[in-house]
Amino acid sequence: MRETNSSGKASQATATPPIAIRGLTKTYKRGREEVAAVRDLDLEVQANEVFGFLGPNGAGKTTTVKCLLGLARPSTGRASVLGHPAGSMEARKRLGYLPENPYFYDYLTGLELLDWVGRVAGVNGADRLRRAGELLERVGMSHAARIQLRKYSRGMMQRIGLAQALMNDPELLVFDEPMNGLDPIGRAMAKELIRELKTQGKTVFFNTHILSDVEELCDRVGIIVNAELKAAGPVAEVRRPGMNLEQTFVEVVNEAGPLRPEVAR
Amino acid sequence: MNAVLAIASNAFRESVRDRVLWVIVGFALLVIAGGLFLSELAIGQHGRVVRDFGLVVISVIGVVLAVFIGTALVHKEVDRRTIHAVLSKPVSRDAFVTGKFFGLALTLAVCTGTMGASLFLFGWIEGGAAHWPTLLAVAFTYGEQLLLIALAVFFSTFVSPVMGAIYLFGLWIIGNALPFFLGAARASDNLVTKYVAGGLYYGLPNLSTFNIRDLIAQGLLPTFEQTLWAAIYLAAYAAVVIWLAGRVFAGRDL
Repeated sequence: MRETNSSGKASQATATPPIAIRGLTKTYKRGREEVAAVRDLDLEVQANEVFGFLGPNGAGKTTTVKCLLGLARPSTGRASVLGHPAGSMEARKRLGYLPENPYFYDYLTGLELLDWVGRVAGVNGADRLRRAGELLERVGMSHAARIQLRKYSRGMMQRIGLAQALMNDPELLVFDEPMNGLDPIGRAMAKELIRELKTQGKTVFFNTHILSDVEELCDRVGIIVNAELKAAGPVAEVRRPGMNLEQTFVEVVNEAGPLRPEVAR
Repeated sequence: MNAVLAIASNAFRESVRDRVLWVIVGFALLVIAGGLFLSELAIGQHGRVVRDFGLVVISVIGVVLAVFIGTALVHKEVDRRTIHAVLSKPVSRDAFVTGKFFGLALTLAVCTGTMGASLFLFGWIEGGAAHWPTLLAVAFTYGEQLLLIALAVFFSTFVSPVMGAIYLFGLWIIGNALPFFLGAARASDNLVTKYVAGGLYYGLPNLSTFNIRDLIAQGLLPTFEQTLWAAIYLAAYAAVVIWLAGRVFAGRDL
C-alpha cells in the first residue's frame, strides 16, 4: 500500500527521515513452521512528526519496534533510524525508548535509575543529576525519587519509564504503549509531554490501543493487522468517511480476516 | 568502557542488595568458625585444621555463588525484559556481558575477601601465628571463581539457569580432575584415548591450576612461574569465554 505524509502527498522526503523501513519482514520459528510477525513493511516517519502505530494484540507493533532498536534482527528488508542502520550505536545514542509494561532494576531508586541510564547513555555527571531532577519533576515523581522501584505502583513505573527515555535528550522517542497503567492525571501528563516534545522539534513514534489519544496527538498513523500494514497516512485521510478513527480501525481489522495468535513475545 | 563500568557497578549493586548473598556468606563464616571446634579433635595442629577446612569451605561457597548468581545473570534480564531498556541505550551486547562479568567478579571479591580475612584471623587465633600462605590460597581460589563466573555468564546467554548450573557444576568437577585426563592420555597406548583425553585436558577449563590447598597444607608455596602461569591462563581463558558470550548473545533476538 502507498503511504502518504502529513501534507497528503506521496512520501518523498528530501532529508533522511528519522525512521525509514523498507520491505521489513521478521519471521520466528514456531515448531517447524516459520511465522511472520511483520511482513514486507514499508514505513517512514518524518522529522518532528507524532506517529501513532496501531494494531490489535499480536499484530506486529512491538516486533517492529524491536527491529528499530536492534533487539531483533529483520529476516529481510532494512530499517534506518536517524540516518543510521537500526540498532546501531549511532542511532541508539540519539533515541529514547519506553518499553511496553516497563521493567527496570527494581532494587534501584527512581533517582538511581535515571542516574544510571544517563551514565550508560554518556551524559556527564553534573548534567546527569540536573537532568534527572528536571525529569522527575516533569513526570511528577520528585516525591518518589529516593524510593526503590519495587515499591512503585504500575503508574509510577510508567512515569519513571517516560523519564528514563528522555535522559539523553533524544531526537527520536519510541514509546510502546505510553499510556499503559496511567490514571487520568498521568495520561494528561503523558499527552502534554508528547505535545511538548513535538514543540521542541522531536519526533515521536508510539504504539497504542487508545485511539482517542491518537486522534488527539498524532499527525499520522499506521494500522498493522496480522503482520501487514493495512493503512497509513494523516489521521484525517486514514479515517473513513463518516467514521471516527476507532470505527475505521475496527473495520480495517475486520477486513483483514480472523486475527492470528501472537508470534513473538 | 563507560558502559562496561556502568553495567558492572550496577551488577555489583544488585548483588550486594540481595539478602540471600549475605545469608550465604554469613552461613559460610559460621561454618569456617565451626572449624575452631573441629580443630579440637586434632592434636597439635589446630591452626592447620582450621585453615584446611576453611579453604575448602571458601572454595565450595565460591562455586555455589558463581553457579547460582552467575548462571542467572543474563538470562534473568532477558526473562524480565529489563534488557530491552538497557540495550535501547548505546550499550553493545559485548559491553553488557563484559560488565556483568566484572560486576559479579567484584561481588565475589568482596565475599571471598570477607571469608578469607575471617579464615586468616581464625587461623591466627587458633595457630598462634599469622599464616600468610592462607591468603595466597584464597587468592588462587578467587582465580578459580573468576573462571567459573566467566563460564556462568557464557551459559546464561543461551541456556536457562538450571541448565547453566548443571553444565557449570559438571565443568567444576571435570575441571578439577583434568590432571587425571592428562595422566590417562600419557599412559594410554590407544591413540583415540590419547587424543580425546589430551583434547579434553587442553580444551576444558583446567581448574586444578588454581588449587594450591594441598601444597599449602604441606607447608609449601607455589613457584613464581606457577603463579604467573595461573594468572596468564585465567586472563586468556576468561577473555575468550567472555568474547564468545558476547558473540552468542549478539546473535540472539530479544
